[in-house]
Amino acid sequence: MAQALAEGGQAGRAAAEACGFAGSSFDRPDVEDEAEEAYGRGPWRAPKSKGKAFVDFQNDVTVTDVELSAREGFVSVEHLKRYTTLGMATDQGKTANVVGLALMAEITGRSVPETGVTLARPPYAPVALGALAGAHRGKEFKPTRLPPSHFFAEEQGAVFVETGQWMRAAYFPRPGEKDWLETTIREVNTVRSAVGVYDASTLGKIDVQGADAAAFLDRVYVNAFSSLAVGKARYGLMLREDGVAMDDGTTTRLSDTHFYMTTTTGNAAGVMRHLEFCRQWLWPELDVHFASVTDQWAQFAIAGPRSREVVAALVDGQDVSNEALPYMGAKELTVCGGVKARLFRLSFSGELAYELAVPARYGDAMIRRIVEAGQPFGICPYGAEALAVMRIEKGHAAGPELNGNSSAADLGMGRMMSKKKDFVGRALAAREAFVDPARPCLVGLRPVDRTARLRSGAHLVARGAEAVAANDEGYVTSTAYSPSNGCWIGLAFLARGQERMGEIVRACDPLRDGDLEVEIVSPVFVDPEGARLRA
Amino acid sequence: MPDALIARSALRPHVAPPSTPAGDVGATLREVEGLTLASVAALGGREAELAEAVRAAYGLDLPTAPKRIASGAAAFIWAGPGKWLASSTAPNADFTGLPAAVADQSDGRAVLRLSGPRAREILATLTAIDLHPRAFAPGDAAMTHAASIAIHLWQVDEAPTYEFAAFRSYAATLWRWIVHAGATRGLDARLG
Repeated sequence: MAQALAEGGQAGRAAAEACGFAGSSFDRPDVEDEAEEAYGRGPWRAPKSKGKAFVDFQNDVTVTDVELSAREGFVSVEHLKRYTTLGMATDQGKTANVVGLALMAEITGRSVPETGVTLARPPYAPVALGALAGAHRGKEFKPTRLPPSHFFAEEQGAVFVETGQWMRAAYFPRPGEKDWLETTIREVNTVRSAVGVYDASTLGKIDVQGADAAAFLDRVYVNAFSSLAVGKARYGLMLREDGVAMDDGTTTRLSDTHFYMTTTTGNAAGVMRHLEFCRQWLWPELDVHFASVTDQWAQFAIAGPRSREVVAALVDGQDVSNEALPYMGAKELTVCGGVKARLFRLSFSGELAYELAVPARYGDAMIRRIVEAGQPFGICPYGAEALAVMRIEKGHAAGPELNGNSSAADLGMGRMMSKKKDFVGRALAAREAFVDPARPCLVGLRPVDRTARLRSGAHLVARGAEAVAANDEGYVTSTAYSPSNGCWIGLAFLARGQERMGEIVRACDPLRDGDLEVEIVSPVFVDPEGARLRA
Repeated sequence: MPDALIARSALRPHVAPPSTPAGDVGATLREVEGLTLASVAALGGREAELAEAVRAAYGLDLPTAPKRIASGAAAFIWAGPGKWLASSTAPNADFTGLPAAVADQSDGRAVLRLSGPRAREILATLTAIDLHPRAFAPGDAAMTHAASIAIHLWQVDEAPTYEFAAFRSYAATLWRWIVHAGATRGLDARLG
C-alpha cells in the first residue's frame, strides 16, 4: 500500500508537469506494510466435507472448480477468474475472492500476495441505488413541461394527464359532474354546438427557412409544398425511409422562403432529428435551416360554430370572415391591442375552427381573454379527452394509428403520395407487402348493439369464425364514446377494409371477455362532407 | 378597449419555490427577464455577409467556437456550426433585419442566472461538462444538459456567474433542481 501511494503520487505529479502545471508535493500518508496475516490463515475449506463446497455464492463456484482450474494450468488469478467465473458476479468478488484466491495459493504452494488479486472494477464499495438515482425521484423522475395555459387550467380545477414530458389538461370537471366521461361529453357537445378553447401549444413547431425550404419540404413530405401559396396551410404526411408513416401535421407558408411546421406532440424531437439528418447528411447542398419554436408560441385552438365571433372580438380590426380567411388560410396579425400573433384557419375537431398563436409570455393572459370573449357564446375550455373524442369522430390518425406499422395507404392517404416528385420513403413504400390489397386499412366501427362499449386492442374476426390468431383480420386502434353518434365508436385496421363497408364482424377482446358484433363504416363519423370546417 | 395582455414568466412560486440560506449566501439564482433572443443561422453562401452585418450593427465578431461574444447590450452565443443565439438587453431590440434565417426565441427560452462563490459547485452537480476555471471560463459557452434538460450555458464573469437558457416549458423543473442542488450550499433563490 505504501509503495502504491508513493508511485501514484509521482505519476500524478509527472502528469501535471506534462500538462504545463507546477506539480505540488504529495505527502504520502503514513501506512504500515501489510503482513501476510492481513489475508488470514484459513482454513479455507472444510477438510472432511464430501458435499459441494461453494466459494462464490453468486456464481456457484466451488472448491473443486478452483482445484480443476489449477489442474488445467489456469493458475494465474486472471485465468482462474475467466475459467471459473469466480468474482464475476454483481458483487465483483467482494464475498468470494479472498477465499478463492487463498485456495489457489494453497494449491500452488504460494502466499496470497504471490498469487495476486484480480483487477476490481467500480463500484469498489457498495453504492446505494438511491445514490445512483440522485434527485430523479417521484415526480422528478423525468422533467415536466408545463404549457402556457397550465396555471389557468389549475385554477379551473382541470384534471391533468402526462403526455411524454408534457402535463396536459385532460378535462375540466364542473360541480355535479360524476366522472371524466360526463365532463368530456359536455366539452365535446359545447364545441360541436357553440365554441371551446384548447391549448394546442404542446404540438411540435419548427421554423423552416432558406432559399431551398420549399424544395426540402417536397422531399420530406409525401405531398407537395412548393405549390403551397403564401398565407396558406397544408396537411402533410412524412414517411420513414422504410415507407412507414412517421408523423403528420400542418405546415404554413409565411413567405417564399419561410415555413412554419407543426408536428405531433410526442414526435416533435424525432421529427427535428429527422429533418436535421436529411439536411446534414442526405442533401447538404440545400440551403434550409430549422429552429424549434415549440416553446416560443402559445397556440390555442378556438373551435366551434361560434368561433369566428370569438376570434373577431380578439383581433385588432382585421377581417376574419370566410372570404378573408378561408379554411386552411393563415395570417400574421396583432391581437388585443398590438400583440403580434399568427392566426390559422385549421380544424382538428371538424368544426369551424382557428388556431391563434401568440408569444408564450402572453399565453396565460391570452387564454383568459379568449374565455372572456367567448362568454356570450357559452365557451368552455376543453382538454385532451375531448380532443381525442373529436379526432376519432373525424377519423384523424393519431399515435395509435401512426404506430410504426402503418403505411400512407393504410391510413387512407395513399392518393396523397405525389407521383411527380421523389420523397423519403417513396421507394420502399412500393414494396409488395405495402401494396397488397389484402393489407389492413383504416375503417370506422360501430357496435351493432348501440349500448355496448367498444374497446381498443380488440381483434377483428369474421362472424362465424373462431376467435384464434389464424382468423385475425385486424385490430381496433382507438375508441371513444361519441356524443354526436350516441354510441361508442372506433377506428381499426381491417384487411380489405375499404371493400367491406356495411359488413358485420366481431371485435374479440379475450383479455376483457369482450366479443361484440360491429358494423364496418367510414372512419369519418361527423360531417363527412367537411361542410362545417369550411363554413 | 380592454387592457393590454399581461406578459408572464413561466415561473410561479408553487412550481419554482424560493430558497433562503440559513447562513452565508453561497450563490444567488434569478430569472433573467426582458431579453430579446433569436436563433440565427447563416444562409448558404452568405456567411461573410452575415458576419459583416453583425460587425457593422453590433461591433462584434461572430464566434466560430463555443464562445459568447458580448458588446454593450448585445451578445452572440455560438450554437453549432453557422448558428448562434443572439441576445440583447436593449428595449425593442430586433434581430430580424440580419441577412440570415432568424427566428424569435424571446419567449421560447427561459434564461436563469446562477452567481456566487458556490455557483460552480451547484451547477457541477447538475451538468457533466468540466466547469474548472481552466476548462470553462468567462466567455465560454456550451450546449449541454442539466437535470436531463437541454441547456445553452455560458459563463459571464469570475464570481463565477453562469447563465443558461432552456426551453421555456422546462424552466420550473430546472429551477427546482437548482434549488435542490443549492439546498446545502447557501442558495438564495427568488422570483422577480
